[in-house]
Amino acid sequence: MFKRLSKIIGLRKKENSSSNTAMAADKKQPMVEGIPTDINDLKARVRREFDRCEDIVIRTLEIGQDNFIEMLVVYFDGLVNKDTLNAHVLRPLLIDARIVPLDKSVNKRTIVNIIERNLLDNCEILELTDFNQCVQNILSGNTVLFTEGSDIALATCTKGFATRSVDKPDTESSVRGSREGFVESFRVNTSLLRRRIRTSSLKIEEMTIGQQTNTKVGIAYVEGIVNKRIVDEVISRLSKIKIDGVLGSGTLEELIQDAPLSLMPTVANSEKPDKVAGKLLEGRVAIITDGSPFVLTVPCLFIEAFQTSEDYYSLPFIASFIRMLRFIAFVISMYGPAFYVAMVGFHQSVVPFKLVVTIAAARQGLPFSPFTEAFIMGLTFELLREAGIRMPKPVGQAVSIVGALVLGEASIRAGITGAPMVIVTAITAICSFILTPYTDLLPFARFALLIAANVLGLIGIALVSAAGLVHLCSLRSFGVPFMAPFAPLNLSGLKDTFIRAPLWTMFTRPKELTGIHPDQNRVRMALEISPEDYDGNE
Amino acid sequence: MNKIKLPILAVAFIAILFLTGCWDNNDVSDVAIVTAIGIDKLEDGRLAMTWQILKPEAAQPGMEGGQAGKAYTNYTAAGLTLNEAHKELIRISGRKPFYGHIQVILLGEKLAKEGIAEFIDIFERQYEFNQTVKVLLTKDMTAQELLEAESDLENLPAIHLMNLVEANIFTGKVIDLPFFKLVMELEREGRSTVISALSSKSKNDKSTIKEMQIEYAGIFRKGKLIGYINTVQVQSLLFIANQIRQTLITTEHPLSPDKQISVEIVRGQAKREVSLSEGRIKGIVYVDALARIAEVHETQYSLKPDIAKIIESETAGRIKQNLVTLIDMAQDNYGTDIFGFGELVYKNEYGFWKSVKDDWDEYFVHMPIDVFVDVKIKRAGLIDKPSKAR
Repeated sequence: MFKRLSKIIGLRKKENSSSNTAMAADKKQPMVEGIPTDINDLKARVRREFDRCEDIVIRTLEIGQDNFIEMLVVYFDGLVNKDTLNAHVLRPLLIDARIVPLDKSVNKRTIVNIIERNLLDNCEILELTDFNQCVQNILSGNTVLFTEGSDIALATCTKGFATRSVDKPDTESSVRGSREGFVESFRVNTSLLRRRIRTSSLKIEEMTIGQQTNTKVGIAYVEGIVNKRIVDEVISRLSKIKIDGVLGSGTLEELIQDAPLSLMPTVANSEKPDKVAGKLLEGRVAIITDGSPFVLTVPCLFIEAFQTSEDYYSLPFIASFIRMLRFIAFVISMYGPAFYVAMVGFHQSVVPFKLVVTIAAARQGLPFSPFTEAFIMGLTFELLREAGIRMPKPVGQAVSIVGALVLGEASIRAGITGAPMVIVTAITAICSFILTPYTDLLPFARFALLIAANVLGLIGIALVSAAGLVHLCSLRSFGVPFMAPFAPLNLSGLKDTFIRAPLWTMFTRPKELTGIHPDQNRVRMALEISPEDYDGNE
Repeated sequence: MNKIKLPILAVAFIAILFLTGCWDNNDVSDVAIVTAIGIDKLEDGRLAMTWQILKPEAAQPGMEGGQAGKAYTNYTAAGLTLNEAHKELIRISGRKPFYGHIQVILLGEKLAKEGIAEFIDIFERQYEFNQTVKVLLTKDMTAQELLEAESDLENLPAIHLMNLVEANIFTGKVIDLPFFKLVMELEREGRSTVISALSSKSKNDKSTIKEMQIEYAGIFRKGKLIGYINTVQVQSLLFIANQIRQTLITTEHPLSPDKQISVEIVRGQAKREVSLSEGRIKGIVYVDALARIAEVHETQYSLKPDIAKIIESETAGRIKQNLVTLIDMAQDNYGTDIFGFGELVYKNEYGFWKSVKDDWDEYFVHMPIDVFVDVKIKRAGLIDKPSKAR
């Protein structure tokens, strides 16, 4: 069934992509359009390009002392910082240009050259010869200067639009780790990474995706650690995307997934620069999308949901304990209601007698079967959660009051649901929040198991679990088995799974990520450094 | 997978979802949770089965029990077979029984006398049945009567009865016989079963479990009750069977005979052996017990090693005397092998066993059995010398 579905969708995908490329061929071929040298032609061309874009500013200047040279300054109002523009572009052109001789014969230089080298005191200036590139620059907030009689345009960096400042991440809060989170602007995000990994080996390749949005996408990796084939795969998948818009990293995530129809995500995301930096150092590739505070990292393994950056900042025993708690939480939040239903409906003999008495007493006279009860409660919880997320904060509190008091308390009092079921639902809910990456997909597993438990009891749970496990083992993320290091088993990789071994024991980089090329430097830590060596008895 | 099979499979899977009620999905609130079963033989030869059914709403801890009433109710029905009675019980109670949490099975005296082996078939056949349930006999009353008795300690009499058996690990005077073990003992050659029996202290008052006691144990030969032994003899039997966890031996103090001393056995290890010599089987019982002084009324002597020796030998003597009494009783009065010497012969001397297996009990009656008891006192509690009023 799955295969057929994916085949259908795959077919459609192919059609889409072929039509997309056709469209792309019409519209945007990398053909170079020269810049008109005649100032009137140029004005007409610029006007035509930005026809009815009423936030465009096209300003004509005349610079020089004696024989004025006409220049065109083009920028978008709102995308540029006007102070920068005034002080570092307009002022030099209009005032300082009177001192600098603009004689063409001097040093055989062109006027553009003089303007670029001698006049503008802005830090970043690009020479452009392609008109389309000029348009791109204007659109991204640069100011483009066209000069009369020259086919070279100058783009000066005057970007200055309203952005959010670096803030605490909402989805992953930390106690001991860095409190910085990614923001929406691309350059700030790359700077957050660059500040943490200060090596020229940190490569950030940039590309533009989205026919209409022209979103900037950066592919970051640490050369020497990363497996080259993964980088190539990421770039090739990204470059195949032909889509109108990329408004968030989620779009990219969906389009480069290994198993698009699977529940499990094979691309991870994070809002924390320190976490992404850690992943880069493990040999992963990060994908930074302009406009999204979530940076994608691939390959994504099953175990990643259980690892938080906090684990590596706290002591190994504490971190290991919390790791194990997370595994327990994962199991509870998947199996909680299903197990309860199986126990109450099928396997009462397994439950201790006194517990049976309690449950039987609580269930006495209830109108619904345990399954229906679990289903209703589970559904209610999902509704409450969704309401709580989307609501503005003050209203969100009202939702939780209604949820906790009215539904929980009243439904027991009224005899609609039993207290044990409410307890099971509540603990399931709490546990599902512990594993944030899987919070959204756990309900699917939970309901599947619930149905199986209602049909076949523990056997049903076992069957569905087996099927799920088979699926997990069949998944791959950018060529890396999703269940690594459990399957295929890598014993040294287990040091960072159920427990978090002391850092000085994990001296090699993850094998499954970095590959096993003999030339690669796999050791991330000096072998002989362990705390025992600092005894002080020299 | 071809095109036709897929929809069929899909339909089948979806159909399963609606079949849930037809399989053995029984909601815990819809079944009758049977906590105890009593089986009696009626005068007309039919079998009566009594269920003690839990009423969960009254049994739940934390709820106001006053108005809820009794936490259980008893249903009795009779039939030619236990299954007949079982179906009849479903008919009159309107609920499917759930046998997974039975605490005790009570066998009526009349049934026991006429043979129990053939009536436990139903419990072996039922897959749902809890095989570790305790088995008890009722002496001088029917199982039904006993189940009517209320408990002032527990809200379920069945729990109270089970606790009486479980407390054996502290007293060493009750035989803790799970159902599966009873089946094994009945089936095994060269061993007779002994089951503890509940009886009423007074003839008339049978209304509460307080009035009941496990004072006797019934001896079975070939699945039929032939007589009773008392608690001291049960203690001795448990010594020989190596089932003593803790028990108390009280004797006169060896140095001042009018004062009592209690010695608590904290670990009793017994070994039975049989040896074949000159065509005769001889049984040997070794008992190795670790003990501590539990209570001393005599105030003169502190527990010096030489005094401890004397107490040890006195205690060992008492245990040995009890064991010999029980062995004599089994051989002379009941003439059946309740110790399982036959089993040992079967295991160790199979050639000889073949010649005596048909009338092992007759052979057992004349079998010499030697008893060796060794007691070691390890501790005397917090004091070694009793306090004395001066």
